[in-house]
Amino acid sequence: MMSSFDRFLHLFWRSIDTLMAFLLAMMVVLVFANVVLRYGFSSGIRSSVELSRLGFVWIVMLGAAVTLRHGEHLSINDVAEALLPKLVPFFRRVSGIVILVSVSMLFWGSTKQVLANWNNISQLTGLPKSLLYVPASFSGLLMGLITLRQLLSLDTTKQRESDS
Amino acid sequence: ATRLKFAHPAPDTDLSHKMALQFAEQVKTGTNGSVVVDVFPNGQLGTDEQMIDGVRSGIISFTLVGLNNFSGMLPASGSFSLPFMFPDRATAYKVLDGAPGQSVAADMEEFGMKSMGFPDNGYRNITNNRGPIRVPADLSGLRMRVNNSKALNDLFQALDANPQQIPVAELYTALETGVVDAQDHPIWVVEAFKFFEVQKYLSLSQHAYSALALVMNLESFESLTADEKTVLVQAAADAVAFQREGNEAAEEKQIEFLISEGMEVNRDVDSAAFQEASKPVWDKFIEDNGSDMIDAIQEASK
Amino acid sequence: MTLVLFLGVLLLGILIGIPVAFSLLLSAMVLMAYLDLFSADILAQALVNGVDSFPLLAIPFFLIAGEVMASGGLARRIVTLASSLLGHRKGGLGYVVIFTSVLLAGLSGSAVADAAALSSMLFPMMAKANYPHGRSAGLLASGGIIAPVIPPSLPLILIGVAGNISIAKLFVAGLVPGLMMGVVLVVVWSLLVRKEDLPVQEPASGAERFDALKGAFFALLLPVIIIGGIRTGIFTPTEAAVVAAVYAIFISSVIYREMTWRSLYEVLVRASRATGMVMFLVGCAMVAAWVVTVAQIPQQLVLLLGPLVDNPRLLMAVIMLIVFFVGMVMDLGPSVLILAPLFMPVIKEAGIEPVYFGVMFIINASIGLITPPVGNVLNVVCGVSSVSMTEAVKGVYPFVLAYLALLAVFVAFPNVIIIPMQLLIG
Ligand code: NA
Ligand code: NA
Repeated sequence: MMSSFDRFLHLFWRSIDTLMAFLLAMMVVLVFANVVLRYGFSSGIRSSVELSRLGFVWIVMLGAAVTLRHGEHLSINDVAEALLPKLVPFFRRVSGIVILVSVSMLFWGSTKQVLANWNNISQLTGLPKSLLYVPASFSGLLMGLITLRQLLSLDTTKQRESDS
Repeated sequence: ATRLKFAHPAPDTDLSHKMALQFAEQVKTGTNGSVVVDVFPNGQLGTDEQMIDGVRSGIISFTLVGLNNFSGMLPASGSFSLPFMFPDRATAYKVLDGAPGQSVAADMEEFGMKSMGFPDNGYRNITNNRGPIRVPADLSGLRMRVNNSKALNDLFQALDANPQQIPVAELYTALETGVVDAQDHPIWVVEAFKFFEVQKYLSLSQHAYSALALVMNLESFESLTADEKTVLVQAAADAVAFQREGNEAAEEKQIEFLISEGMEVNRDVDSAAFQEASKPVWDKFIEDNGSDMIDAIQEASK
Repeated sequence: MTLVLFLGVLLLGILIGIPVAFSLLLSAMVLMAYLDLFSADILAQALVNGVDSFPLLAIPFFLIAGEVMASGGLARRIVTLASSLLGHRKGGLGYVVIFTSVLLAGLSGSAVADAAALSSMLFPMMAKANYPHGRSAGLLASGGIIAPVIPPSLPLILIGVAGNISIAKLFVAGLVPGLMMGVVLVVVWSLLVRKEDLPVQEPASGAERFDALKGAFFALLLPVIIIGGIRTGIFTPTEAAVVAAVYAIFISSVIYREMTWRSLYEVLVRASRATGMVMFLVGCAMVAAWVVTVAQIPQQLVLLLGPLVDNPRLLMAVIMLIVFFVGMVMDLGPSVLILAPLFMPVIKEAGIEPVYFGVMFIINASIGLITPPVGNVLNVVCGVSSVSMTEAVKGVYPFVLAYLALLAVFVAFPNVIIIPMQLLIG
């Protein structure tokens, strides 16, 4: 049985996937349309480069959070497992803390940029530069929550192991 | 000692770098070493936009980038780079050092920056591969790379060219293969970025003046002692004067170099016709941003 | 001191299993703290700005093209053709990889984008044919780094501007060593597959080959469209990636009818996730590069070079060692921007041909893209093919050694690069 919170989480991550797919499709259309317009119709989309860069940053930041959720960020685990197997749980906690500190800094630094750039408006798109930092801030928050959850579940697994 | 970072986009062979080094030296001797400036050329610490962000948040202390990069925050500052705003450099300097420049400097403080002066980036000129640009009709149908200035995009659209957005990093290849046939930049850029290797004609259209802006993080300026501030302001003023003089003098040499590399340079450009064509661009700019700054510039130009 | 601190923390972090991206951030944070400029602003700005790059958009576009080709029938037809032509040779697909790498290198200027394209199209085929995963990933990564050496090339442009070297000459000079890198791969691969137990087929008949060629027609048209489009200036190398994606989608949905809306959506999601993983790592590498630059670590290295100007070959050898070690931990772009201008005065004083130096620098720094701990091309290949870092490192090392041997030949005999360049320029 899925709890309603789990259902919400499931839906939430599905909508992140959909958002990324939508942005990527938009980037394909924009950049391709610009090629067709330039060569076939002597015209172009002025905002295509800036908009697709913006979409790109959103995809990267959201994708980084999805990757973290699935534990798929590249890492080398076999060295520690082979040489110091007893310390692996400890290393995992260290890793969680390092991630937590880094994404907190990402969140904090990006949020400051979001606030500093609401009035910094791109001439070609009319959009505030803040939009570049919004996904970084959001992703920092998401990755922080994911890591906290993983750190806490590390503790509960340990608890359960010592209970049995 | 206080260590400050000065980051700029130009190669270390460029005058901007010499200017930065001179500034650093003068600050060091003037403050008896209590303020030390480290210079990072070549965009090592990021693109123009990134360096401005860096100065605003204080992770970089100084940067030296085109004034046009500030138009997102200060839309009125776009007036300085409107087509045919300044008939000659002397007028541009007078205006930038006068009331209009000071008003931009005051606005910069709202965004956490201290303006330290406006060095010269030169006039923008057109290079292409089809033929010399003498009259507006010569631009017709040219696929032309244009920067992110709305006014310049409007101008070249009005002149029946086909303005395209290509990142500077990809521009050399785009010119080489013919994705675009033309581009516009100050002459030193044509030399530094080697566009002369893939472009045949340089036409001295001088269609827009571009100033550089030397800016400093406001907080780190405020945290200096009064004496240090005086030294920095003086060093900046000297550096700007040195750069302006050197840049003007260098331009003729750069043109000679481009000719020796096989470019055909065309000085015969019908400015009046281009100015006529740029009127609607001005109207559109005024519609979007008001005319206060333009009026102030014209007043100060007299 | 700062260098040792940075490297020590980075390696320690990676070895205890902290994801590479976050190990980079950790070493950057430690170095920031040591330099007394610990700041969330540096981390956030360098990371976001490192990701905000138009040329790197080619990555998701090529990922789409590769995924669509794999699931929409194009890849299958290419494999059929390749195996009908090369299947009777041992390790035939490997030669397909190398040939495709050199071809792609002549189109694209970015190793990371090329590696994404190569591995998303060819890895699934190699896996299906039972090629060892690590070795396949190693070959794909090694093929990817030919892109920056053969023109067009973003890194060659970068070093042309940063070091004030003619880009046109760099482009010409890169051609021969780039092709030689391909030859080196062929040699190493043929030696490696001798020991492997790979399936070998009966030689295909002429009719079978013709059928396979016919079947692969639309797939073979893709490189023609891409080459033609770039060479005639219809689109830029970055835009070529999007053209490839659109073409692949068109052929597999309209012509082959093997792709549905559903599978297109899934392709987009997978490409986004892979982009997120790869590019986040690129962003973190940029944070580390920013702090390393501010710490002026490269300058410390260059100061040691002064006494060597009287012996150009020795100087070149030492510089190449420095570039190699820097390349182990730093991405190609930043190392060019930082190191090249520092080396240029010494290079000129020693009378070394700047174009030769530029090409050597780019070859060397490109090798850095496939060496651990920070190898963005290796990372991309791992990300796309789901091969573990450890396996990929094991798979790539023979190729790295062979490339280094080639580099040593170029140091000992600069004319191998210089004479063809002079002949081609005329
Ligand atoms: Na290439
Ligand atoms: Na490396």
